[in-house]
Amino acid sequence: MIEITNVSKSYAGGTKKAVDNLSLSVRPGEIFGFLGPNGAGKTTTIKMLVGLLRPDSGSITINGCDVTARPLEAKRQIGFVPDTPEVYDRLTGLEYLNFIGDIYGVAGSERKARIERLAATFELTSALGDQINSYSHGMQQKIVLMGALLHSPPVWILDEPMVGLDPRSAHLLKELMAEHTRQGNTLFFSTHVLDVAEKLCDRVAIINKGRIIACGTLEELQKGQTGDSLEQIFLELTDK
Amino acid sequence: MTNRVLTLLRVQFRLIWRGYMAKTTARSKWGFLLLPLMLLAFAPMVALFGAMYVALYAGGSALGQAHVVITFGVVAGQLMCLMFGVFYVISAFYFAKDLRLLVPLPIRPGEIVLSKFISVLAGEYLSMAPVVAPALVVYGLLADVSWTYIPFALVIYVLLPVLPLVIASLFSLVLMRVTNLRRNRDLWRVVGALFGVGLAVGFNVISRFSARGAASPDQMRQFLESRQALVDAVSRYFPPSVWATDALRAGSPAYGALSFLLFVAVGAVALYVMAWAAEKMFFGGLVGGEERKRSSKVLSQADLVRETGRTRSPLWALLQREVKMLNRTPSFLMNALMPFLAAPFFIVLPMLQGGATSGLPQFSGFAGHPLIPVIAVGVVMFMNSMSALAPTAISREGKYFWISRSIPVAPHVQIHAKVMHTLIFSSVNLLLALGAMIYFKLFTPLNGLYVVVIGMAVNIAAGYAGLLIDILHPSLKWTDPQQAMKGNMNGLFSMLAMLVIGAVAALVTVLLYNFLPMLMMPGLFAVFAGAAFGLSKLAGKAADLRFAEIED
Repeated sequence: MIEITNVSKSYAGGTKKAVDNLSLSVRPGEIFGFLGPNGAGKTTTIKMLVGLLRPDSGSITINGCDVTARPLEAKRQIGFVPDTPEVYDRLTGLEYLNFIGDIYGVAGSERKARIERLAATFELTSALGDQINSYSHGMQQKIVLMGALLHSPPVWILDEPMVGLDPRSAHLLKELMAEHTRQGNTLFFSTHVLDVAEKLCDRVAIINKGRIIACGTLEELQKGQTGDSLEQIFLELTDK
Repeated sequence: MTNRVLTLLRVQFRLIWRGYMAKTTARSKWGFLLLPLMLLAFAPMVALFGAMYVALYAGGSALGQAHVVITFGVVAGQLMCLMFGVFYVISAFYFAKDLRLLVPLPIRPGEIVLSKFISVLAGEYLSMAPVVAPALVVYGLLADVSWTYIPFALVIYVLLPVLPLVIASLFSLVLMRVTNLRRNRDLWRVVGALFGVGLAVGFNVISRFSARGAASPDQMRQFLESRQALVDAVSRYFPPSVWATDALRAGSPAYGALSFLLFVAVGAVALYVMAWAAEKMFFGGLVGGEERKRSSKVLSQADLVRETGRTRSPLWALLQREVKMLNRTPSFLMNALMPFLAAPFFIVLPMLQGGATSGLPQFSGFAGHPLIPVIAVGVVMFMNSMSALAPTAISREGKYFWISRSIPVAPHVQIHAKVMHTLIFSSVNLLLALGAMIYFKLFTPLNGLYVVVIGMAVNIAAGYAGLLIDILHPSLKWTDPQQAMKGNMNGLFSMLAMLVIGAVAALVTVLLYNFLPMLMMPGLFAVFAGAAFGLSKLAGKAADLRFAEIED
């Protein structure tokens, strides 16, 4: 469960408001899509969710843990994939996953089983012994995803997770996302691929200029709009 | 060509400047008020070289060779540039992150190399200042020089690193082109850089042996003659150092002007040759650098079981990450090893050349002197102040710092892991100090114990002091790993912090030595242990606060 209450964040000494009094609630068992044009405040919001940025005001809780007051407990709940897949390029894929396993205290047998399963899912088994700097962009995205999911976090926060993935891996990731929420977990992700959001999400929010301009199920968003598809709704709303 | 080089340079310097000023809070800008204090950190070294040059001038005058001061300064500066040049140049030419943006642009390889070369050159002016500037100032003040001295000296100072850096660049261009054909390229590159260091130290050692026969009852003359051999040796391979001397020495201005022109011409020709060589070889070596080795071996089930079966504590995992990231980044590793390579250059070899070897027996009588372990601790401290490992530990993470900030490990624990990593290196300082004591017959078990115990406290204090500085002002937006360490001002701040701690320790030592000599060593230990404890708490607190604040 993610609770965002009246969160604001400014840059450049308070002159540029990136997120303006944002409130959202993502329920367990829900896939929540976070949409918006470039520079709308998506990544800023996500960075505040995972503790990489501190809100100027308001509060954020992850499964009941306040990210500012109890950052370590909150971080344990999260599996995070940033918008650029940058992880220690001088480590091998397996060394990176072991590092993450040690940090999150994933036991040996459990760790082995998960690495095997995730590597097979993302077809990365043969590359795990290589340094990450030899990976393609898509492979780096896969290793970041594997690292984020290794400790079976109840809350997934993914910033543009499909970027760089080949169609098969993207499809498998979507299946993993659906499976994750079927087990009663929470998923919050940003994307520019509106078809994916339309098919996958239980609810979406559209952010523009730091403010939520629409939030709800597709049916709820369609009310009052001329278009039916999420793409048409998005274009109408963000054009205003 | 010139316009494009200037554009590239402007972008590079702007990136370095913005990288440093990235945190545009008012507080960080106050840091620049500390600039004079930072320069103060170099004061002891400048004073040391200044005093040496004054003595050299006096000795040289007696032999009618006062100008030897300039030659020594010039040769020392050029040797320094040659010694470290290979690895600075390799790092700037081949490991800068912006290269993948520059290569596809319609820019000639010579232009890229020239702009990178000039940025390395700019760094050298600061590095060689404590060694070269005092020589030029001492000679200018003491000798009866002509009006050409100041303009010539300025131009010579500006051009001084050009030739050694061009030699280092040519060596690097060939090395990278050749090693491109081999496996384990990173290893070859570190070996190549070490070869450059070996070359410079080799000059020193050879000249030392050639000076052996030049014993003289007059200590200054012996000192001078033994160094004269070094100067002769270097002059043979680096005639421009003789021209620089001739351009500046008192006497015939016409002859001086000719030497000056020769010196300038050689610098210009060297730059042209380098640009030409870069056109031929740069892209060949660079493209190889972008090719990453993929192992043909697929991870077996047994490998997976073995690797995943070894679970470790977060602290241990963080320490291993530090070790692997440093060891596998040639530029970081070389910077970390630098103090150990530079220490013999600055301390041991000059002592050996100065005829200290012939005075060895007289040292052994001092083994029981209470100040011997204090001096050894001072050496440990000096070595620590030269290390950029701790004050760049956060900066080195660069674009990967988001991982440290998003993992569920308290920042103060992460700081402890980083200090543990610096201790692996700074423990070598203890071994060097112990080795020096044994070599100079000053070792006693008690002296050894003092050096290990107090030296360890010094290492810990230095580690946390460096970390504290880096937490307060990390430089995370670098494009070239070299900027993260050598181009990082935090190294200077750390040096200054060590100077302050050292001054307090010296004061306590002097007071106790005079009034309570029995408590001198425990007192010294208390100062460093107290500093280590206080700094560890401070650095931990600062990390807990700053990790949440730093915005990348």
